[in-house]
Amino acid sequence: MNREALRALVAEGGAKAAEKLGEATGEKWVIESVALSVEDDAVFEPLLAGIAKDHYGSHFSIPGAGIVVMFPGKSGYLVSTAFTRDHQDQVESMDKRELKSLAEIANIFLNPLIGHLAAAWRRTVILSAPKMEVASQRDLVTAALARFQDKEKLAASLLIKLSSPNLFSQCAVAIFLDSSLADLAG
Amino acid sequence: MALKVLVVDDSPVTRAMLSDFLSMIGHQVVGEGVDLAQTLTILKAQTPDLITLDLSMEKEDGLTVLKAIRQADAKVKVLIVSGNTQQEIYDQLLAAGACGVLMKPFTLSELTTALDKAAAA
Repeated sequence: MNREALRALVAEGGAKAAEKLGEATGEKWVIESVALSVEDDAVFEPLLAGIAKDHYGSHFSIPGAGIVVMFPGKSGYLVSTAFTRDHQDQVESMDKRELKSLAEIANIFLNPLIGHLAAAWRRTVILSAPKMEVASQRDLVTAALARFQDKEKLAASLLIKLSSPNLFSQCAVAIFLDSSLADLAG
Repeated sequence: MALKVLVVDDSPVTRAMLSDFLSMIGHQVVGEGVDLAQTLTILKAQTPDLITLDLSMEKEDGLTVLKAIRQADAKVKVLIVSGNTQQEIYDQLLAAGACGVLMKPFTLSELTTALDKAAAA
């Protein structure tokens, strides 16, 4: 595996995703960092300290990878409100509005990143529908990692951190790849 | 011309946003579907002019739903509404009978243009 090629590929895709998140929320998003770990989940150690059950998590999967998009509670509220800004009357009485909005936002946001990776991998990929959960960062990351405990071997873990200064919001994306995908970069 | 539109998407938020925009520009939303079975039931009962169809849904993917729609009704227009950015997938959908693509997130203006193109296709 070419580590730097994989990190660069994800960083390029992350930039496209940040642009799409900006379109969805009406505010600019910037990438704070893109970190890579190989054959373990060391890159997530700071997140594993987060035990407050206040994060909105959207779990996705594609063959060979698991992904979780995480918004802290306050950011989740602000981001979902920004996304539905032109349709408040239609969504304000919706049960679990933030959760449902963030599921769709995460889907819209991830697709350009997955599309960028798919083009490099020379394959087509359709993201699964999101599975939503409100939990601690630790539990969200642990759940996303669970599929790699038995059948699949974890080859690479990536963590993308984004923020929107004008929206006072943060977002983190954890990506776990098996070797069938991680080895395709570079 | 006002269209009878069936909105198919597993996200209730996107269904609400699409239905809101469609009503604003004078179209009639005749139903909302979340999966293949519901889509075919509403298609038969309401005979829409156009279906907006999501690509990533919980039970079936959009290509599967599109093929089933085409078998049930050869004439209804199908506009794909998705966040997917892969041209190869859209080529497959267009070859399978979709008449256009609208990328999420969309503005009212983008939706209007996509509907006009789809209706004219």
